[in-house]
Amino acid sequence: MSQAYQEFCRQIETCASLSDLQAMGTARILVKEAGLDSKTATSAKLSVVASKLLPRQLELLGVAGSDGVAAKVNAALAAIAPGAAAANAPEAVFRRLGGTV
Amino acid sequence: MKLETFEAIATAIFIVMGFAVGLRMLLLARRTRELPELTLGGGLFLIVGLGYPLFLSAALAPNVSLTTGRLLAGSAAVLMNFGWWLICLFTWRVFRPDAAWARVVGAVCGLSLAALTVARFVDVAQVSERVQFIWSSPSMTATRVFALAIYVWTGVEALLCHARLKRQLALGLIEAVVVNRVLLWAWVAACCFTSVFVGFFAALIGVGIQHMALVRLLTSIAGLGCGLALYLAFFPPRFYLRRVAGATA
Repeated sequence: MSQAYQEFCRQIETCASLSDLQAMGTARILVKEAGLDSKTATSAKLSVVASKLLPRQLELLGVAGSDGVAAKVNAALAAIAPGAAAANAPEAVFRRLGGTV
Repeated sequence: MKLETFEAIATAIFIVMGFAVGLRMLLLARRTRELPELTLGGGLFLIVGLGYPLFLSAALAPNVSLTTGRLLAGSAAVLMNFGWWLICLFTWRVFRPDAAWARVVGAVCGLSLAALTVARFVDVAQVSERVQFIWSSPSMTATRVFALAIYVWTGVEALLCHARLKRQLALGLIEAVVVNRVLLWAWVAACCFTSVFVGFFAALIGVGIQHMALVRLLTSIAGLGCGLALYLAFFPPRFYLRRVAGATA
């Protein structure tokens, strides 16, 4: 798991007052829905996930003030370095293959 | 347009694109020092850019002696089998870098293709007419099975990856052109599969000379499709980039 993903799980757990298992499960669902890989997910991408997908998922779990919680998670993610995508993740490879030689 | 003309044009496009994309990836690898571009570039360059023209020349080029034909066919086998192994390595390293089974597949493919190259040399040495170089032999049939398996694996992995990246695209996490490039790579694998499969199936059922025109037509269409997909994926014209970006805007 990437450092950003671990922080993402930790922030969901803390800000939404969920158990660690609930937080990890929520993060796993969100990452899968976003088409990301927990090993290579960067804080920049997880920040988008927190903004666009997390509120709805928290509502499903009955967490009050889901928008506020998502904003807190987002703010915590913004505090850490955006992180470069793993050089050999498929998306990074196919991006590079179209680049200049 | 006559079949021979269409076949010549389609084959030329296929070879030129394989050569150009392979060379471009190798130059990219020289700069980045990364394995994926080295394996992909090496694979395309050896299979399509060098091996396939040698394979065709061995059997069909005019004024080539049997001895020279044997040399060409043997060289083609070395280049193409090594190229297929490189494509196998690309698929493993890019799509399944942590999977133990993928590592085993890579190793088994490498050893098997090396053994089949030796077997191909034995077959080539026993050929009495140059045209037999493109006929099926036990070593060629086995090699085609490995090539087909590699293309299936590559295509399936690319399609799975494309499905995942489409979800990223919906959230604006990735550029549309990158997602499209992965889909085009799956298309390249599908076209290469079709090209090899047509020859494999024709040899398997012992297709008669009266149906060879159909075999050549299907192979040419697959080659043309592969060449066009390589062009759009790795040398995309501006209108195509605009269209891909516009489709998701």
